[in-house]
Amino acid sequence: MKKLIFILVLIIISNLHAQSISDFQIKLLDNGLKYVVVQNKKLPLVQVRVIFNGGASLDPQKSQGLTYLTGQLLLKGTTKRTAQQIAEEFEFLGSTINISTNYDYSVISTEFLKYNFQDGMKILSEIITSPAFDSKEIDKEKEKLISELKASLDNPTYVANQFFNRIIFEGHPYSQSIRGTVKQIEKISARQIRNHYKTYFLPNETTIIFYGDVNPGEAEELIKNLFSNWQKGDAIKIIEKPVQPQSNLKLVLVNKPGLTQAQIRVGNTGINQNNPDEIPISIVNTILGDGFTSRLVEEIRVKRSLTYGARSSFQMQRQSGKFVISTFTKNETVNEVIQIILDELKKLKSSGVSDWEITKAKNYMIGELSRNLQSPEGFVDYLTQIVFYQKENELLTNFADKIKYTTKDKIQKVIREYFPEKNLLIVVVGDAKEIKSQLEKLGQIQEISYEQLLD
Amino acid sequence: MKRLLFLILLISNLFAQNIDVESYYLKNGMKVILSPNKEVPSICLRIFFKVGGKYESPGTTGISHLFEHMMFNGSAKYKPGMFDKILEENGGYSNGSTWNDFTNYWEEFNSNKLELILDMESDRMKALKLDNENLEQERYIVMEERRLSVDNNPQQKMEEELYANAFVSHLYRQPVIGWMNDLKKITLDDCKFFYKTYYSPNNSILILTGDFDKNKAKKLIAKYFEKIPKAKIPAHKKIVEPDQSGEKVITLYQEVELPAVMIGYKSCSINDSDFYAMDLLANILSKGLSSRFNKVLSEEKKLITEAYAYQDQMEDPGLFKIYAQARGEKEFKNLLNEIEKIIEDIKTKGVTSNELEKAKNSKVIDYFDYFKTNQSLSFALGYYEVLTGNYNNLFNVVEKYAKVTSQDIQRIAQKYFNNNTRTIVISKPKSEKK
Repeated sequence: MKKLIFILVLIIISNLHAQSISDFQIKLLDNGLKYVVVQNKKLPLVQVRVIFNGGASLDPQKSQGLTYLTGQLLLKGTTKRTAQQIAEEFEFLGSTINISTNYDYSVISTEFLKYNFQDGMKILSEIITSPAFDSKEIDKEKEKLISELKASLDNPTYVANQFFNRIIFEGHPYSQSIRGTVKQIEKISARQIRNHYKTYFLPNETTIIFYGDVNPGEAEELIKNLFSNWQKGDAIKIIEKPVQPQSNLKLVLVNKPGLTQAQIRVGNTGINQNNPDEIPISIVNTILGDGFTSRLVEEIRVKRSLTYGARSSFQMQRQSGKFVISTFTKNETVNEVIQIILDELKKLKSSGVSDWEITKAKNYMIGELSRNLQSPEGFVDYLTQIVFYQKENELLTNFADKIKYTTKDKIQKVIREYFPEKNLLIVVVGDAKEIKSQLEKLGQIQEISYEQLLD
Repeated sequence: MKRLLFLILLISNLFAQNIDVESYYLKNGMKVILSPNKEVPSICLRIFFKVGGKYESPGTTGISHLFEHMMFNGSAKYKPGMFDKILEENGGYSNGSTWNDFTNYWEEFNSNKLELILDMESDRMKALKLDNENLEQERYIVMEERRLSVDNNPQQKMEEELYANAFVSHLYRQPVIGWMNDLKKITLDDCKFFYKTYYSPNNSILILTGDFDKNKAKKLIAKYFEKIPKAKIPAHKKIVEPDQSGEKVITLYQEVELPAVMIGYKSCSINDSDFYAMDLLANILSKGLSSRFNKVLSEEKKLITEAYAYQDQMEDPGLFKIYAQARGEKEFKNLLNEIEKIIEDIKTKGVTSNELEKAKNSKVIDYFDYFKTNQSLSFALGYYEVLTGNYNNLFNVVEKYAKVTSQDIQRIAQKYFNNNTRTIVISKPKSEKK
């Protein structure tokens, strides 16, 4: 036993100083499964991400939530083990498993102690390649999801984000509800779910990422053993549809009685994940609405104490994205806050940004990114974005220089090109009887009930 | 399976022993904890003050948190707004948070900026700009924060009511964010008194983690902090909550879609030997798909959308909380009864060895979270120092979980899950109010 301890001590000491961020390679199995292994021995843990191409964009307009539901059901039993057995055996390793879905992909996230990596991956491969989709489990999952959708309506932030999305991407799959709606989930059949899995959850549409204390050679061997027999299928055809930006001012009031604070969203469509101007756009966005010293925080929070938080962001997806300013304020000051936001967008367009603001934003972004990458979850999630959207490896290995060497000319150019000033979509979630008269001063209001999210 | 746990225990202990940590006191009584590493070229500086919600007198609830906001608004050398601007332009960022037992501030910044940040931190400890402008600015921001996190958040509202009713004497009954009516009335004199009383070096702990040279850091910390005079801190009267002698039930009618219940059993402090068994039990009840709550309340009986169990980690005895949201009114009728059945089962039969091992393995994975970043490590060191009196307790956590037996779980379930010492908050849709 002493010898074992001695060896372990040596391993641990030599690993405490983690290596700097290294480049990575995407490898391929014969069936088209892609995988990436990045070793970092600082902690005896391995992060795992399994990314299935497609996401909620695959959902038919009348079966919203289909991809999400299919993903959740992966955990509900395999052809060899029941849902309960899977849960017991997997969680015995100390790990939990999570499956989330966005518009472009579904992703399984988990973390193993290095000693359980092999055992955990065996169960995970079974979950991925041979789910049972038992009818009883499907009914149970649907029932649960329906009540979760109802429960979400109690969260004003969620309601505001959902409506903004619905309206800004109208006519595009990005406008659909990822988890579906109560009425549509009720109608999704077991057959639809089984077919959806068969058609879209394919090795040639899947990427596996390992990050942590894992030997790349062993990991490769493991992936070959566990996934080589997984049958490939026809490549997914994502239907690309154009997204039309908001072309006039649109003011939507979502009535949710009883709220003493209104949630505000202002924005338009934005950029997609592969936009070459992502970095200069992010620099300007940082100046406008990221961090504690942004213009929006300064004007709405610091100078006037009208909110606790205000931020702007470009949320990018494969085909398109959105630009959205998010904040909240008490009922009495909704109009004042919206006016400040509109003024700030105008000011950005007419006066640009200063040299000092650019320097501050660049340094802040470099610092933020390097800190985020220190956490294993932060690193692997960033790597997921780069691998899935086939972004330049440099965004991981050399992001600081890419930010630092962005010129002021480029920055002024993206302000003109990408930041909206007029033709905005404004969504306010609040108690209509308290705030409607204020909002009417801004223009014509379309009033809807928050309960429409259930349809 | 036992072997697995043993191996994990061994690894986590060896790992913990290899973290370089040193501590000492400055002449004015300020404690310093240093833990250097060279993973990334940045540093996290954190300062804990031993003050928070439980130190506030009635009528000034929320002052610790409001004051935390005011700490960012200028001091003798640095004008209002400069604190964050200087940090961000140097690649850094800062924040603060206030809890029942403590308040803490942290900054992350590039390694070569240590002296600048120590200067800013020490300046606000000795000469904060305390005026009405600062107070009024933050008062209204905090009121918005309260509207966001409590007033328009049904679950948080239940939690606030739970603590306000569960405790009659201990000040854990007061919400850390403060009652709205108190927030409106806190005066500048209250703030000055608070600053003078609690924000002194001998009531604080400074922690550095990340890429720095220990000797240089020690010199700089002495240069900027040692001259700040110590203050006389009033002895904190330890309030012992009287025994609760009957169940309390509160019903809230809120703008909600679904009914929910929150139960708080009077429980133990983080320093109690029962704590680790209680914490593991919370895990067994609600963590993961194989937890008791998920298996019975969701899969088998189809009653809930979500449920959790949580053991408070506080300096004085807190609550063991259970929250469950029902799928509808019909499901709600059986919910409390089904939760009670699960608890009764544990009181009579304990938990299985499999359940216990699983919970322990899960705690080991969670334990490594403390060591993932400079920020998480600096928090963990300060947290254990303030709550348990010694940061070294951070390094024997896994061992304490490992020692818990199934008999321990049954014993603590019998000891703490008593209907006479519990408080129940029920949340129902307003439309059901008769």
